[in-house]
Amino acid sequence: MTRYVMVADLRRCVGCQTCTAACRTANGTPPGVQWRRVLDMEIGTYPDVRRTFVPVGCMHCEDPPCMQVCPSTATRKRDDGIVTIDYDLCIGCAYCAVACPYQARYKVERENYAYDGEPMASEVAKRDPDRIGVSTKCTFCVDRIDAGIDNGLTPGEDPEATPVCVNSCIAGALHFGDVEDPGSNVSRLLAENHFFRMHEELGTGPSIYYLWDRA
Amino acid sequence: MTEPAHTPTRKLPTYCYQCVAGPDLLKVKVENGVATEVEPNFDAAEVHPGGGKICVKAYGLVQKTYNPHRVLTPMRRTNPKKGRKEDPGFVPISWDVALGDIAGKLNGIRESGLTDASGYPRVAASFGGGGTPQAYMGTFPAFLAAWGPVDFGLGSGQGVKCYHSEHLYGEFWHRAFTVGSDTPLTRYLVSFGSNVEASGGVCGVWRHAEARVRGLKRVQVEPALSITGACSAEWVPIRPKTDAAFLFAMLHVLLHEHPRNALDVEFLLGNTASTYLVGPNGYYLRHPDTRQPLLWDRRSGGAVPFDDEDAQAEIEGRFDVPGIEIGPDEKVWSHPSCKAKTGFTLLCEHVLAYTPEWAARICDVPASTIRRVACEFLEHAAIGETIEVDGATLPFRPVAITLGKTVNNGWGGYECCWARTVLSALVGALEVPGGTLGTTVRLNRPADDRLDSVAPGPDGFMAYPFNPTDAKNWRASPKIRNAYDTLVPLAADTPWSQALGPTHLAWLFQDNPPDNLPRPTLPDVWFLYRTNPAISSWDAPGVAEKMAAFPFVVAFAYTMDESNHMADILLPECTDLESTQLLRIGGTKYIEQFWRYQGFALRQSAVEGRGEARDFTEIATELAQRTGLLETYNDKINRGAVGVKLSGERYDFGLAADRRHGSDDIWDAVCRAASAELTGGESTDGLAWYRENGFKVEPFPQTKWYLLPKLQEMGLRFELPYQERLKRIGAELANRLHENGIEWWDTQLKEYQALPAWKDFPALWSDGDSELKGDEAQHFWLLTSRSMQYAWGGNAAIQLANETARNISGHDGIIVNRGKAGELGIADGDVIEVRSELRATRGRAVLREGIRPDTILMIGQFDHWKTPFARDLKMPSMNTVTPMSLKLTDATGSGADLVRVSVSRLEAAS
Amino acid sequence: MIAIAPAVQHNWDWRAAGNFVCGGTGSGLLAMAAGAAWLGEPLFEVAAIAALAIIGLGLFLVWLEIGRPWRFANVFRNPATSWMSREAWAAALLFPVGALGAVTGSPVLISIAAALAMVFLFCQARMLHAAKGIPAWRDAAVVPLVNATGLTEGGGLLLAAAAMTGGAPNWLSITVLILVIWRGVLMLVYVYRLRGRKLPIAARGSLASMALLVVMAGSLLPAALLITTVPDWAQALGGLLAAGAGWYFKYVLVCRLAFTQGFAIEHSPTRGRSPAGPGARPGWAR
Repeated sequence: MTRYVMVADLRRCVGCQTCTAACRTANGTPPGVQWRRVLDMEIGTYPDVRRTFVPVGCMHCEDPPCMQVCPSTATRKRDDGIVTIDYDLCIGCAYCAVACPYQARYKVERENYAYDGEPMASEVAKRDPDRIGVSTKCTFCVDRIDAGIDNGLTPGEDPEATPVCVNSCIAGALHFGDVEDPGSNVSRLLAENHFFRMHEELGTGPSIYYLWDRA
Repeated sequence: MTEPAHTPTRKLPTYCYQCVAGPDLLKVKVENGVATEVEPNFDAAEVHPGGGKICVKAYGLVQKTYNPHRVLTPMRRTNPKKGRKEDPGFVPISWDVALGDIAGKLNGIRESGLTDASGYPRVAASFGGGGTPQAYMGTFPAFLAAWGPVDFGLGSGQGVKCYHSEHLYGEFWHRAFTVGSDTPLTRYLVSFGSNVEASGGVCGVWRHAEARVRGLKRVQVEPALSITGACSAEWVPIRPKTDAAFLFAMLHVLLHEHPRNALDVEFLLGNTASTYLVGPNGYYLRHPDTRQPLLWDRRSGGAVPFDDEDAQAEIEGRFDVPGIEIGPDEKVWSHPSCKAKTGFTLLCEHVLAYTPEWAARICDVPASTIRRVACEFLEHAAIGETIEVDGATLPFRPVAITLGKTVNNGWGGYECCWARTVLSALVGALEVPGGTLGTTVRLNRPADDRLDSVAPGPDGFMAYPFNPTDAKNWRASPKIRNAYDTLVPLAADTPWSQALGPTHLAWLFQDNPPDNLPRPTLPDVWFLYRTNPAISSWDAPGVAEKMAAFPFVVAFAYTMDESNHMADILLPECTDLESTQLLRIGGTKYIEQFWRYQGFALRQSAVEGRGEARDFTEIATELAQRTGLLETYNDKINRGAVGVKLSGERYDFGLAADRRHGSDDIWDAVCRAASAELTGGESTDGLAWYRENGFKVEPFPQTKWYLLPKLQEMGLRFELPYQERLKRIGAELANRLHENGIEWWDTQLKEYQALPAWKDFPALWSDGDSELKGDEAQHFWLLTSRSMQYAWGGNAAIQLANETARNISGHDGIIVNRGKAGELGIADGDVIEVRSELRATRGRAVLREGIRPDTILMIGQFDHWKTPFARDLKMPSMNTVTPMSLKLTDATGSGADLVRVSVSRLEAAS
Repeated sequence: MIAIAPAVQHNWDWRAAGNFVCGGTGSGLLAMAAGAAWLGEPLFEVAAIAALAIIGLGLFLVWLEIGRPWRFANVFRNPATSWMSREAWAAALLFPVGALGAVTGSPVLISIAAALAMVFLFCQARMLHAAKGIPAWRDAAVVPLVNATGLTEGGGLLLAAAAMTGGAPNWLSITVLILVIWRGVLMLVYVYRLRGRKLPIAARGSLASMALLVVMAGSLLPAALLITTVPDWAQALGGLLAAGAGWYFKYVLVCRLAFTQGFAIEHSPTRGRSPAGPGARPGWAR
């Protein structure tokens, strides 16, 4: 069985937001809708201070609370672990948004653009009215993964089959792959390093693993 | 040949060079003729030092292309009055009319003379972004070269915003326009405010991330915890502008708290001037006949010329030696016998008083920390180890020191650059694997090959193209308005020198004409491209005011902005994704761009230019034709003015000089010549090939990253630690200036010291605190920090840049220490006023722990009042409050980006 | 900058709060109407119809909030796991049965409707409990509390109406008295359970002031008013306080107490050769 996960190496991340920009551009999300983003966290008090950059987004949980609560069955989990939203079913109740402990979901009530007024040509090309009034979130670039697999590519290894945020990461901090495959890059990283998952105590089984030290 | 509409989706290779940390190679996705996405060019993953990735700025290129605020037609000003409050009354005009206006002015200049009564060029041109606009201006450099004298020295922030002292001294000491660590191999790096994770681009982030995971220890010494500080093993919060004291104390620890054999004595003996004897007047003691510097030979028990191969030189000591000293203007002191000391001994004596305890009081850093860092630096140097690189065995010294802006420019910059370089030399870590490396050259030639720029100079050192200071050749009348060739010998006189002089003097002198220099004049025609001096200069509002006086300004305009608000003609040029240019890539350049390949990459017109925007090359060709310069212009292109000579031993793609060529024809010829250059004439792939494939490279050996083998091969040494030549040049410059009645540069002349001493640098700024508002508790150092999302990109008008930047602390306000803010009654989000002696700016307080209580920080400078989108951000700018002054200008002509301010709370957070 | 510490959610606003207010009050009222029907009280049908109308108003408010209102029927698609679907199904059954009961005056039908209303109310309570992203909602104590306050609101509203229109029956006063005390106890349990690390620091103030007000004005004061034989106006006041405190509680619960989880890391990473550092949970007590 395949289960796709993401590994974020906190030792590497510099908070540059390249993944944020890449996701925004590739997925054509409107201003402010950042399916992938990086937090700038400060820990401690002067002068004993640390600053850590933490990529966040939909955690594609093993037991997604968003899916449990979704009244329309728009939110589903695929066999490969990817949590999806069917925009044609979603009623936009935002119940999933309050159920998600990772603040990963967005609901946009009306189209909006980078600059006031008319959309730019690039925004027109990316326009998707189906996303208005419904919940949206990171898809792990599921279309790329499916198309890549159809073309015999391996997600996480071949860029064409890998989420754009991972492709874009200039620190080599983001990785993607099948955690059930012991030979995959993510399995290797998890075996070689200490990691945690965010809000593990909530029992959601998030699929983003944060590396913080060598094992 | 742009991508026609309604074609299938394609991904076209191109490059992004919006900032000096590039270029990076990317692909742009074009759907039905519209650029919709950019992505890394993974075809270049093995070639590019950053895995073929692109940084966050590149993702803004799509918005940049379709930004509705773009200027899309040529425009002419209708209101002759200029000023911030004046409406320029721009009206659309045709290209024919616009170019006619410009050509009319230019032809008028050609008739009346290319220089004015002051001897200054009548045409000026300013470009921003650390030389990156040249990657977008097509063949315009060929037009300017064909034109003749042009003043490139009207600054837009250079000197205060760049690594200025490092540029000049770095090139002098080790061909290092910029200095970096050998990141893939370094094990210990002390970084004084070098924010490489934000300013080093993709390669910087990539290489340092790899190094961190490998186990590099980086100690970040800086007043505010930057992105780089965040990613470092240790943050040492140092008082602003005291870095030189920290570095001097490190020298003290190495020289006075460790045995000599703990240092790389072999390196010092063979590769530096440590052994050179210095006479009582502070100049090298020389052989009376050969005039060669002497050193003390242990074997013979006497002084011998420095190049005596059999000599067993003493590295330290005081010796009775006969000889001569040569001072300024050929002044000679003859010594039948004199007490001479080695340069190394003088160094030891010089830093004796600079103990960590001494530095601790200045830097507000515990002496134990300074001592520990120095010891760790030494411990990690692995003195004696070697490494094999490309089959060659080289010394391996995995320790480095890097300096950031405001440390390596302005007063104190010389001291920091010198100490850093000497520290590296003491452990043999200069220009060797793992150590501190220069990256590129701009003042030495050839610019595209750092090692080839090494030529033998006097006294066993590298040659350096100083501007002359001798009585015969010193230029009493500067070539251009910033007087770089008159005042700054280190600035040299290459195409980059004008922009590396004291560029702000061109502005400063307008208010205060300098005594005994030609009268400051305004250029008749001023070209502006990818620069916004009215925002990016220190004292930006003051500069904007002065710009209003310029009689005829031609701005290549992306959107309206604060500078082209003062323009007479606006020209819309095809932007990044709309036009064509071939760029040299690879080798070593900028801070972290150490490639294992070199070659060329194409920027191609992936989409049609919007509106009436024109390809820059077409504009340049049109101007050349209308000014009667077409032949010269073509000739300049043929000779390599756009980066590649069009003919070589086995090929000739030169353009016929007597006729006009289209942009595609020109770039096809350039591409073919580039292919031929790269392959020794075997390949002649042209524009079509590059459009498909994006880039062509050949291997660039890693051994070429390191200068030491080249010096050794040529029998040369680093001009360290003693700065005899600078001392002499400074004295000569003083003579020339004083002979010409110029006294106003006297403070700067004091920088020319053979061994730089600590001066109370912070006091240069804080002396004026009594002029500030409020009491001492309200007084702060105001600093800035690099923003990857914005730096150099000219993208303040790009929504995506703003949105992504705001995810990072400080981009939406002014960072203040949380505890200190509490004392002042300032809460997170409160609007605060930041006032210097000059004026005030305001913004929201962002309370953080990672900043010294005596310091506040503004990331990015955003006092825009004209640029669409940016003007609505309501962000502060330190450029508004930073005074531009001669007092704060050092000998290289640079300032430092800091200012003393008072802070007061205006209103509560909303 | 992205808020890292918990912040009040903005996905559900006063309209969602209105659904919980109306759903609870209407369900409670229907339960009281069923009791009244069996006890032969007059006008129980009116109370039942009012209860349905109130529940309907709540659903209408939430209909106004959803992004795709004309797809509302999709709300029924996931009764297997979604308490919102279950709530919708309960409502879908509740309305015809309740309406039929009111029209026919059948205590049996009204009682079935009341049972459905209890299911509906329970679904609402579980909806909040299932929202894992909101610490103030997900605690198990929210379920009995929301149920209890729904009944209290319904009872209180009926008590006030009865007191103002001819006198409230004793059983109703006693029921409301018991309910306000029970709700007060559950409120204290809720507050007790959310102490320490179960609620973001920024939410504590709202919780404390809300709980104080609900216990004082919604439990102790009504209890004091109802515990002895008192005039009708006092009965009415007691009923209104019982109901109003519940409404206030749910408004605060949805609109002010609903802080998000925020973000946290268990360890800050090594940076080169530095040791790893402590984690952080901004906005939460250590």
